Amino acid sequence: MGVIGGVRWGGVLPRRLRAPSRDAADRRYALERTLHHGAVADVSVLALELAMVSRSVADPRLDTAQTTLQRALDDLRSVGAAIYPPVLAGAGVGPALRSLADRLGLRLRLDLPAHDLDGDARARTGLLVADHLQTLCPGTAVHVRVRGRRLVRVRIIDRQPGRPGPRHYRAALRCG
Amino acid sequence: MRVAIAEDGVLFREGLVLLLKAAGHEVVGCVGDGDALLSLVATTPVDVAVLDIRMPPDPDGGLATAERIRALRPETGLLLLSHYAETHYLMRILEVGTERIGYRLKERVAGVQVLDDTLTRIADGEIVIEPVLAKRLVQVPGGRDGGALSALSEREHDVLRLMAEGRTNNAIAAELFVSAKAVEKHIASIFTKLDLPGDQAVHHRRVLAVLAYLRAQRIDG
Repeated sequence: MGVIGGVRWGGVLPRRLRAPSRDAADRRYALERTLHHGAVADVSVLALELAMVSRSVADPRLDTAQTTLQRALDDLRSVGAAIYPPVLAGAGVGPALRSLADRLGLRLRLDLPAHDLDGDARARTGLLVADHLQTLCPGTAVHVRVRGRRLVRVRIIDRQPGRPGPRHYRAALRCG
Repeated sequence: MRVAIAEDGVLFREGLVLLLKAAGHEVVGCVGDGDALLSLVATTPVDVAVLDIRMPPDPDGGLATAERIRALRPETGLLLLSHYAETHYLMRILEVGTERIGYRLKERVAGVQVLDDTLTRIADGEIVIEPVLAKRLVQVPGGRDGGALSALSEREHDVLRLMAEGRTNNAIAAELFVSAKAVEKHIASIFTKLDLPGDQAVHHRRVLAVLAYLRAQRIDG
């Protein structure tokens, strides 16, 4: 415990976060893919078909239906992104968490290892931190520090607006 | 306009073809992956290529394909579509190019008028950014001091959001029912309040400056 990278990590006993297992990470990825290629793709096609119908039929109910479809897609997107952040598989932990923080309105400071995490560590670490970020309210300042390769250590400090003091979390993942 | 499509979802691809034809565009090719689109663009004149971001050959094959098309045919416009509005995708797209390029959510271009408007803006050299994403970037997260963004008036906030969408002064004026001169004044005021550098007269540089600023407000390190 002490000051690392200008951040005081000690002072209180950190709560432990539990990382998803490799199987759970794989299942979540498959589930998001199923949602993406299934319901999300189908509703998007429906939106196109509705647009074509609107060309030949003047009915205000079609506009309402289009709005409803867009709302359904927004919901499906939120569910899909919560199951498995869309950027994580393709671009890795940093881009995935930054995109998520943007979407949730969080102020994120990331301190990641210089090396790339391998597939297992990348997925499980990304999901561990993403799951925690999902619990925070907009405006929260979050500092995430990740170290290690086969034994990945994660520390998170968050400070939510209107709540006293920062909260500390940590986790360790044995990967590979 | 001559349009080529690369999309791995067969039904969405076919629906897009119908919509493009209904909008009066010529669909010169319709393929299921990035490599096939690249071959098509190499041999056929295309005004705008429409690409799905998440398609083969990689998980995000549309981005890699867009890079290769931009290198091969810089004059070809690029419209990247996705089910997700992600700032990571936006930043990658801005690395591909800042002119004749767009990023929209798939279902938001499901309409002849909006699709036509998006393609026309891209073919005219503009950058088109999904309004959902621009709005999210401009919003000050609840419960925190938005810094310089909080100093903007409501109207300046609207102008900033439309700038982040890549809109020109005239388009912003039409959207807000004000004169182009008034828009210029608002933009000058925004740039002063946010202490933004850069030449406001060069459209794509202005968009980049605004996006870089908004992104930096959210990411601390």
